Amino acid sequence: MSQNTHTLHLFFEDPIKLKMGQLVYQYLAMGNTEQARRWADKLGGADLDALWDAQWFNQEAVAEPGHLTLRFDTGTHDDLPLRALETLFAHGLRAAVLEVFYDQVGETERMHFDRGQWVSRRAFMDANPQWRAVVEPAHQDGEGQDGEAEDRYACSKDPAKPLAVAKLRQQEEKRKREAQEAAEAFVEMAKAMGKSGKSPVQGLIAVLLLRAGLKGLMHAVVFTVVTVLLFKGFWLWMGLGLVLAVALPLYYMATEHKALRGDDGDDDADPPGDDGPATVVAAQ
Amino acid sequence: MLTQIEWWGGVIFVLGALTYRMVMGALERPADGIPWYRLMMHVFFLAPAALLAGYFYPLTQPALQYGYLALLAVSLLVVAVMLVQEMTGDSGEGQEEGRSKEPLKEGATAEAEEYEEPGWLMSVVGAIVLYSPVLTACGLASYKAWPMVQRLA
Repeated sequence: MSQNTHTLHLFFEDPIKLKMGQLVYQYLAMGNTEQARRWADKLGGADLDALWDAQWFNQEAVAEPGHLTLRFDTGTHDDLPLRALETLFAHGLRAAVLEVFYDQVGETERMHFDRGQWVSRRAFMDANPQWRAVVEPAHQDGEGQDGEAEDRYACSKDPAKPLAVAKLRQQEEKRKREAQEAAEAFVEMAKAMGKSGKSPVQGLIAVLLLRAGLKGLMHAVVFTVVTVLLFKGFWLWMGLGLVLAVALPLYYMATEHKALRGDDGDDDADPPGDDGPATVVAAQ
Repeated sequence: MLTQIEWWGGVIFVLGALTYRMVMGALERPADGIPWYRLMMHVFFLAPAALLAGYFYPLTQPALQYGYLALLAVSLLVVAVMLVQEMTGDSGEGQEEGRSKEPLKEGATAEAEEYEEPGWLMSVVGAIVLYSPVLTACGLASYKAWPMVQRLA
């Protein structure tokens, strides 16, 4: 079974918090929830459910000088440990580096966090040069030898600008929820199509074309309202709006149809521009 | 009909808005730093739009007149800079194209002929057609501003 392998380097504000975090995670890894809860309370009342996800497996917590390394695996569809990071940042975590190996595609991704924010690799190294040797060990050893060591850590996923972990988590949740809703909607539609004996693909194409048509109609209405309100010449703008109300939906639908058919269906698909003049004549 | 803008002014506005959307959509956003070229493009379209709107109103107060003249000066300056850039090909996109064409020139010339840039005259004509709403707005604003300038002189 495919899985995602996570390695999380955690750097705390002071050695005491590091020790407490270490005890929490070592007890959690061993399955001793009671002791873990006791130390989580000492860490400032951190919520155990937030710190640890029951879906994680193959877990291991290794205390190293100056930081804590956490390793665990998740299913391929499970979330990044953003909730745990968010909670830890509220309880004495200073910085963290997350490395995820996606077994299914054989790719590694790294994310850098500093003071509660997701930052770029460069920003992380500028702010915490002392931890570079820890999070990128080969880079330190093999510096100046070849480019291979450099490339190993070039898989960092950097944000355009620093983003708070809490916000990142909300975005991820929203994205996942929307994808889920879209998938459910499609399944529902496919079921309905199956009942009426129509192909789900044809149904989906019809829905997309309808949406393109409505988009065109909405654009035409907005254009008419804005121009009539702003400029003199009521009948000119009403007439133009009427022409657009016919031409725009047809144009958008033709474009959408062409995009849906892809490259193989070009022979019989009319170019979108051809609809323009025909529509104008029809409208008049 | 909330404004004093005539129907033909509306047509210029609509055409200008279309051009604005096309041009801004084609411009790439630089990865880092301040997007100066994009900012200038915004000014290039929005300042003449304000001038065109002002054309349909009587600017009786001196402050409004001075403001209109200042806006006209800014617009004319930006339009002049843009036209010069179009002629010399020294725009943000122009540099990209120039770089990508380098290897072609070194390689086979026959194939490269298809990708040859049009002459500078065609570039200027193309730019004038594309930017005609902006140029018309600047022309109308200059026509309106001329008596104000004469009064000041």
